[in-house]
Amino acid sequence: MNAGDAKPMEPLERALQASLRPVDPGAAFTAAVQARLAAASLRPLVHTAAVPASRARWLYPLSVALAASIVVALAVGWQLQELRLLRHAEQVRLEQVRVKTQLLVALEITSERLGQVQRRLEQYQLQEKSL
Amino acid sequence: MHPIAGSPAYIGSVSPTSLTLDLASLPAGPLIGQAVDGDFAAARAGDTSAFVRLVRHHQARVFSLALRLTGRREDAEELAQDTFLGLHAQLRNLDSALHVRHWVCRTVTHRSIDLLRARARRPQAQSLDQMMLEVPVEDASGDPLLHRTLRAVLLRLPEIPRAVVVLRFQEDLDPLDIAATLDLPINTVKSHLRRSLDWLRGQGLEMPR
Repeated sequence: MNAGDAKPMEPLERALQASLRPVDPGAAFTAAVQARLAAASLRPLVHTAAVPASRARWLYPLSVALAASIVVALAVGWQLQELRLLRHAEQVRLEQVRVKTQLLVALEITSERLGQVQRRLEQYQLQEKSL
Repeated sequence: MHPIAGSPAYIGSVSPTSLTLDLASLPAGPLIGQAVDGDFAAARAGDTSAFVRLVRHHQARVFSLALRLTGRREDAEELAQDTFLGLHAQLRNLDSALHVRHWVCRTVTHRSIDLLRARARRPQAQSLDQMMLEVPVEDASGDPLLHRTLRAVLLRLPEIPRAVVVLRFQEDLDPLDIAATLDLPINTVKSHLRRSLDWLRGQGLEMPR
C-alpha cells in the first residue's frame, strides 16, 4: 500500500485516486445478498424434505443389505464354479485311467492268443518232421 | 496489505464531506479492527447478522472494484453478490478479517477479468460511452467531469492493466500486493502500471495543478 511511499503523487495519480473512490451500492445491495443467502440455505432443506424421514430411515439399511447380498451371491457363485471345474477335472482323470486299464487287458488277451497260435504251429511242425 | 483498521481504503466508502464528522464519532482504529475481527469470528461460527455486517464493511470495496473493471452496474452487482456468497461458503477456510479483505479483492478482481474475457469473446453492441453513462457519478470533490472522463478512459485499457490501475488507485495497494492479487510477477505489475499511466497521460486530459 501507499503509506510507506515517500514519492509525492503527481496530478494524474491524484485524479485517479479521486475518481476511483469506492462507491457504496447501498442497503438494497446488502438486502439482495441476504436474500440470495437465504435462498441458498433453503435449497438443501427443500431437497431433503422431498424424501420422507420414515422412508429415509429404512432406505439406508435396505440398500446396505442389498449390496451385501449381491456380494455374498457373487462369492458363492465363484466358489461353485471352482468346485464344478475341479469335479470335471477328476472325471476326466478317472476316464483316462479306465481307458488305460481296458487297453492293457486287450493287449494281454492279444498276446495270449498269439502265444497259443505259435504253440499250435510248433506242434504241427513237429508232427510233420516225425512223419 | 495494511491492517484494515485505520486504512484509507477501509474508510473509503465514507463521503469526503462527512469524513471528519464520521471519524470523530467512530472509535479509535484498533477498536474498528476488533469489531471487524469479532464480526469475522461470529460469522465464521454461523452468525448471519455478523456476516451481514461483514458484507456492509466490504461491499463498497467489492462493488466498486467490479464496477471499475466491468463498467456496468448490473454486472458489478451480480459479481459482488456472487463474491459474497462465495465468501460465505469459504469463511471456514479464512483465518482473519484481513484475510477476508484480501480474499474478496482477489475473488472479485478475477471474476471481473473472467467476465471481461467472456464479453470479449461475445462482442455486444454497447459502446464505451454507453458504459460510461451507467457508471454512477458520486463526485463530492474535485472535477466531476474529469473524474467521469478518467473512469471512461480507464475502460479502454485491456483488462489486466485496468485491474492493476484500479487496485493501485482505488484500493491503494502497492505493486507487491497487486502482484499477489493478480498472480503476476511484480515486474509485470510495475510495467503495466508505468505503461498505463503513460498511456493515460497521452490521452490529453487536463489535470488540475
